[in-house]
Amino acid sequence: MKTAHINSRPVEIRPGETILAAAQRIGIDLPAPCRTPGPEPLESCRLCVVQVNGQPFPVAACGTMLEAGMDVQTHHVAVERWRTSLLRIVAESAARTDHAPSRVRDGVWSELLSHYGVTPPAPQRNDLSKPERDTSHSWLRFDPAACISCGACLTTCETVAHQHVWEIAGRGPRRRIQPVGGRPLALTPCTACGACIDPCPTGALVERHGHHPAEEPRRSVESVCGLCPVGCGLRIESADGEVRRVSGLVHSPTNPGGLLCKRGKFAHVAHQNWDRITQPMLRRGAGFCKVSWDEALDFIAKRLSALVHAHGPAAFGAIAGAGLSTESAYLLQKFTRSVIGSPHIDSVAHTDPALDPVCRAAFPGTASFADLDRATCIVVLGADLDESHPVLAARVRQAVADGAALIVVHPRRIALSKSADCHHSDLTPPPPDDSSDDPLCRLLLTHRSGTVCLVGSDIATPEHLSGWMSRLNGLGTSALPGAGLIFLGGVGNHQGLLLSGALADSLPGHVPVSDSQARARIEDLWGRCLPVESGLPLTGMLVGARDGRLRGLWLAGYEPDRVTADATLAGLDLLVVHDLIYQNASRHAHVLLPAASLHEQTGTAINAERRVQLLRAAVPPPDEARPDWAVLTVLARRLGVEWPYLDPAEIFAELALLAPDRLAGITHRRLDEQPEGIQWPCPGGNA
Amino acid sequence: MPNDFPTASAVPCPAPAAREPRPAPAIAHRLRQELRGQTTARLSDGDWAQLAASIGAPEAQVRTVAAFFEEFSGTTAHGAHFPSRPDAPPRSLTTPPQLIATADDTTSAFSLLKTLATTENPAATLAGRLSAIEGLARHRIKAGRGLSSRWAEAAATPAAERFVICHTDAGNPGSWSGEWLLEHRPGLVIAGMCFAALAIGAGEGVICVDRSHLSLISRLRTATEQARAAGVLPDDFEISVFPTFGSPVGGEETALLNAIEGRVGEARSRPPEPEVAGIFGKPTVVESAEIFARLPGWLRSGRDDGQRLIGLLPPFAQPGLVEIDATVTLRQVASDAAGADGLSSIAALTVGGRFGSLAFPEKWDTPLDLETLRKARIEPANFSLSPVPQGQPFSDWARDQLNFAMSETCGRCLPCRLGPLAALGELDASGEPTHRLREILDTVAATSLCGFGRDFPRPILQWIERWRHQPAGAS
Ligand code: SF4
Ligand code: SF4
Ligand code: SF4
Ligand code: FES
Repeated sequence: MKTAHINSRPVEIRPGETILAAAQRIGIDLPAPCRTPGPEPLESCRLCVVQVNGQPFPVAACGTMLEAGMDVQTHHVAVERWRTSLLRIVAESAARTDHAPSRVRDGVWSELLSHYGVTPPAPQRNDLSKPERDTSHSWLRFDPAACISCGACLTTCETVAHQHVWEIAGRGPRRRIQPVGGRPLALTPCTACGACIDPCPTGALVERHGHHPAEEPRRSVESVCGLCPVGCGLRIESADGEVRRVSGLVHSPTNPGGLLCKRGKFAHVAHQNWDRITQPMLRRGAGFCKVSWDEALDFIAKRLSALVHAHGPAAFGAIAGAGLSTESAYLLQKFTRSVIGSPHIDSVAHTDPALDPVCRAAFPGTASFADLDRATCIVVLGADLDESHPVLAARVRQAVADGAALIVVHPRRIALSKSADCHHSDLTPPPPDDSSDDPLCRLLLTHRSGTVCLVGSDIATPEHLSGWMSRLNGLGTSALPGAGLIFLGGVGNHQGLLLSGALADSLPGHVPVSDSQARARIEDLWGRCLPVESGLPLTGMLVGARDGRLRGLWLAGYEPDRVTADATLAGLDLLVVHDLIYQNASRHAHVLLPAASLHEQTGTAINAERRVQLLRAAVPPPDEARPDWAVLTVLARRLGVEWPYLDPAEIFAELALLAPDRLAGITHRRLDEQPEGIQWPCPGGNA
Repeated sequence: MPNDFPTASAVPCPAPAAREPRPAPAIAHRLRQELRGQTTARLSDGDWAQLAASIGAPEAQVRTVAAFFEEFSGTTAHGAHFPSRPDAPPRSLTTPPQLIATADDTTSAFSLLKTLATTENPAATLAGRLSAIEGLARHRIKAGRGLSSRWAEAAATPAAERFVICHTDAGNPGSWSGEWLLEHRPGLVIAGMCFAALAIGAGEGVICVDRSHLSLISRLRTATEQARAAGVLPDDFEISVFPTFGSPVGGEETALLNAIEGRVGEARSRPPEPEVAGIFGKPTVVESAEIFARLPGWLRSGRDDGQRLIGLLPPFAQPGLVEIDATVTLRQVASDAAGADGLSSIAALTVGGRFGSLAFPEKWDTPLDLETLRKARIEPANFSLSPVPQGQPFSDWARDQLNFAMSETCGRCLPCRLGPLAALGELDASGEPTHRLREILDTVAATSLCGFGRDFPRPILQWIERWRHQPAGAS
């Protein structure tokens, strides 16, 4: 084993590890204000300098590899003196130039100031002449007067988010980092991914909402974002039962570098600022009144029994929305099919007409996101990634910069088309012709192996999709090493909703309702009879509600638009809305139930690369809000069906029995131990 | 529906190719083409967007590059106060004078190149001859290593492409030698670059000239054509001339590499040294025009006596270029430049023009030889010389030095960006070399990222150590 020494302690050499990383690994705390999550160290603040034997000058720990035989001193008196002096230089300069920070009050920098006993710059007389705080942006705040122009935000924005929001205006002492063109941040191409906030050492860049002092003790939980089928790894920090900050996990396989998108980064802000429903409510005349869970569930049970008695079980339907965990979706369909006995259950995952059939096919996608990092050619088929999956857009841009060819097939010119080698606005694939001069054909041919194809829901029709698939299959593409397909649904936990059986025509595990053998197996397991027919699809249910064919409807996180809601939901006997906030459907509800957000419950979500991921509750739901599975379990008991579930892990275990080809070998416990989640087929699963 | 995928296919297929990172657009070069001599001062937001679109780079990056270089921003702060080269022809203090007396005679260089080309392994033969040159390893040290071992490293680093860069050391006041050589000895410079290309297997050579000396371009083209006509340009070796976009950071060569790539001319951190990862990350040898011009002579004679052309800056009575060798002492140079009685009015010499080191009279008998100078604790940042007149008040001189540093720094790293400013503030507040002033300068010298920040504080610190707050020469 090769070793070096840091502060006289032997340290094992790891390839590609900087002195800074090695020091942190063995628990030495080094100031490193300008370090970024991106690959290139900035080495601009120079506060991380350390002494290395035999080197005439101290070196920056963040940019120097630890090599065998090095003898590093990180806190030698001379080094500490330089650090103190450097901090003072910056503080003193504030009096002489507008280009040094005069208002550092936050972040690592102010911690360093107090640690090294340096007085922060006194408020300057000319403070008024300093550039104004930029409050134009909905999610970020930028205070130029706190900025040390280290460039961490710029580099992170360019190398992690692959956006170009920041520029360096001026050379030397006039160097200033500012939004491009000196414009307000809101007028830049910023996507509000928030990646630049954490690296900023001075608090010049902060979250606009919910910015809290860093000193308060925080609880930190690693979870995933279930808002889209990318499934980014998250760290959720909370205090006083409130989420304070959400940041990406740097080593997550789904969002390397810890990039998130606006939704994932700031969902909790929306949750906290919205008027959440926190109590069960019953309709009283034109309004609602708060009731206890007992009252609400009693009311529902009574109405449901009456409704089924009068119109038969098929007069009830349920719709699973995007915010549902796999477990909750599974229980919703189990409730509908086995407790009520109605076939009408469907989910929003059903609304992609082109994608839906393939996603339920035997093998929905063959590639992983990580394949994008190796692919030599990427085909983006009917997906405007910057709109729908910004984190993947950044990953594709990185791949393109690294040399992958990019083909965009989309009816519109999308943002990604700019980086593409070839934009194809016709969704029909070009006919196979090996001698064609068409750039698309040439690209496909040269990159037969190593092509990863991302398929989104703008692909219009199943025919287009099957055309493309056979085109790629014809080249042998999808079966080749390093190649494959990824289907990107539009909603979070897309594959989880499908797999759970919350679909009109299929049972858990992608079994068609018409498959009587499989149905019998499920009936055995559940101990109840199941309806033998397929139910109404989502849109059919809404029509049924309008026509009076359906008398009762359960909407779990599903939100129709206003016009649809008014046209279809007004005449029902029973409308239960289980959701976070009061929206369109709620206006017609008889019962409003408060739901738990994805930060507030345990469960699983399955992302577009077939990765089963564990959602961990970071904070308790507010007041009386409860996750769907818990509510359904209690309600089932009221309707005379005893379900034994104590927690979502048990529900998942039951689903795994019904979907052995996908979930065998996966348990909540295993997921808990494997923070990156498990992609099916799960290794060792069928043993 | 295509439930039938993926199926193994009979189509035979190549293994996935390796990915090659795409080259980023050379923004500065494209800006020069697009702006055609205009500055960006009056561009509207719309103009910028259009400019960025036609360059094919994000607007933020285009603006950043444009703001850095004088050619685009129109500022004249950098390098403007450098004294220009006096008209007087170079003098010589070495016998026999080498580059000065001889003409731009390339015959023997070309014939040697031809002979080399016929040997079985020209690169190895040349490498052998280079390492055999007596004195070369001693006199041409950069980053702690001699010329031939640096070149050998560039040759040994696996790469598809290699580069040879010739610079004129612009950014150092008084570094007039490159400019003079490109004007008067272009043939030798080109021949020297051919040797370098042969030694490391380079396919591309770039000669950087200051953008105020565009007249040199045609001379260099002619010289290149002559070499081509003589058939001595190694296969596939192309030489181009690159007029810089503005003053590089104190002659920092990694900043120059960034500029050649068309990026912001900030210094890079080392390692990697340019010989391993220089232009576009490819092995690159970066040498001054003088090294290339002298190389044929060294190869012919088999020895290097440490001859150099050094710049003598005003207020010397006779500023200009002078050729010396490693036996010539500081005193000889200074008395030649100042006249015999002029010497008594000089309190110290700045070895390195404006930065580097101060040499006090008791050290003036040190010869201008790298190792001996270093042993005498004189760290020359380069070999130009300027006098510190007797009686010069400290604060005037120090202010001048600090202003120079402020106008040259690239601003990438904190100490070098704000250090001079803080030091000036300290100076203004007390007019004296306080403890804090020394601490600031010491911090900048210790923690800066590149050689410029490490070198400019040293003369000021040396003054303080010697004379404290008193005028120069006080005891
Ligand atoms: S939020 Fe994201 S896109 Fe916006 S400036 Fe920061 S890193 Fe760039
Ligand atoms: S905003 Fe923050 S990260 Fe960006 S340059 Fe300023 S201090 Fe550095
Ligand atoms: S990309 Fe998707 S998973 Fe990632 S943060 Fe955004 S919404 Fe969440
Ligand atoms: S963290 Fe290393 S230089 Fe800033």
